[in-house]
Amino acid sequence: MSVTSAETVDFGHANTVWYLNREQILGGDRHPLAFPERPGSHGYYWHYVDDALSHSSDATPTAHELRPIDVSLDAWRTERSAAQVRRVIGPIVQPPMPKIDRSIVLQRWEGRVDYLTDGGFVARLMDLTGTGADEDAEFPLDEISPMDRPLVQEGAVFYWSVGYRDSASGQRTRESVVRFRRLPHWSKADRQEADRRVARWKERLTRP
Amino acid sequence: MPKPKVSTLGKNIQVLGHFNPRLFVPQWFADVGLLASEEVGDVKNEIIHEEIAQFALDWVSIRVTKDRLAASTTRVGHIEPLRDLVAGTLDLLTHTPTMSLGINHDYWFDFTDRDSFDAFGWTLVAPSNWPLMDRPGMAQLTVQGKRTDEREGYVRVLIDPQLDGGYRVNVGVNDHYQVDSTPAARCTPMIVEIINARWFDSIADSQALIDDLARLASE
Repeated sequence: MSVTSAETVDFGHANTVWYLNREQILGGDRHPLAFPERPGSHGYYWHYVDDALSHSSDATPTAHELRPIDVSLDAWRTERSAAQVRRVIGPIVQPPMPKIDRSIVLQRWEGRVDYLTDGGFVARLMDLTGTGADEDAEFPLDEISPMDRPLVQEGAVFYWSVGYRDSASGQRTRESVVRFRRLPHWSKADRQEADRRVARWKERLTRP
Repeated sequence: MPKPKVSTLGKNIQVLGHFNPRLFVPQWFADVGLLASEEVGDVKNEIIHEEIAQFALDWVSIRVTKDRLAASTTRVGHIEPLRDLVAGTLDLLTHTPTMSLGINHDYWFDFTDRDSFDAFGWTLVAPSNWPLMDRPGMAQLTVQGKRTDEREGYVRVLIDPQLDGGYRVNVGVNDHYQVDSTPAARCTPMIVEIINARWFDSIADSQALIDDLARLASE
């Protein structure tokens, strides 16, 4: 979904207000919150309280840290000072904890493609849950998602997990996920710079 | 007391530094090979703005503000791809000024009844220390310890009972690394090195902490 109407106004270090449209709030996987839409507005104002994050500086804001602001769109656009806006902040509503999906992994492996076969590949699997020995397994290409198939080459690394996924609605499904490792592409300039560095080190190491 | 059922809620990696959110459009990740072109065509919750870049795929959410890069997953089968995505991103942005790294592990404890839920809180925060309060209970607790490896930083555990009538407690383990005492040019490469070198130990250490807490809850 592309967004054209997100607005952000910074009050300095303490507070930032985000204006997000309805879909961004309702569609968010971490904040699927449903507040009644305010008459006359096109969405919601959210008070992003940096202070609330101070207990855990590395935390992503959770539903509890995003608070609705009781201010109309027009009032907001014309009253932008921190004092004015703090005055119009309405009573804080603690939204209910959102229900989210959770997964239960029975086993995880990191695999390395050993060799390709007709219609598949054989891989060496390393147990990431620490309960089993390394083993070999054959995978048909059909089990690999189309977007990952170009990555199936000898030596390629992939991750395989088997487990359950419990949806927010309570449905449990069994999951087997294979995902190939993606590493960044280096630009021509990056590669040339790396070559230059290697050459410099080589010269230093071979210098008498 | 019955042992609570422990589930993994997800993992997230957060890097504090100075970022340009406008760079982090989904297509950039596809262009540099960190995400498949097919999957970035189906992003959700996309916001690209001077102050924030945010989008989500079915397995990962990314949010970049001027001072923070955060990527998270609730799909336990995708935690190594999460690591590769963040490490790969920083590998391409080695000149970005960064200061610290958090490898964060989120769990939840499901208690079977009110008694065991309350007892867990009272074990961690003794009500006898609060004689002036009526039925005091732990609403949230953060405990911080020194790192046991040679790196700078700390380990912080946040215990957050959900006071919504249920018996669930969210527990977050923040494995925090401070790198800003190293020369600025080396900070981001050092963060990449930490992510790759410490990943499995960080998971194992957080799991050990969680196992210990679960044992405490069942005593």
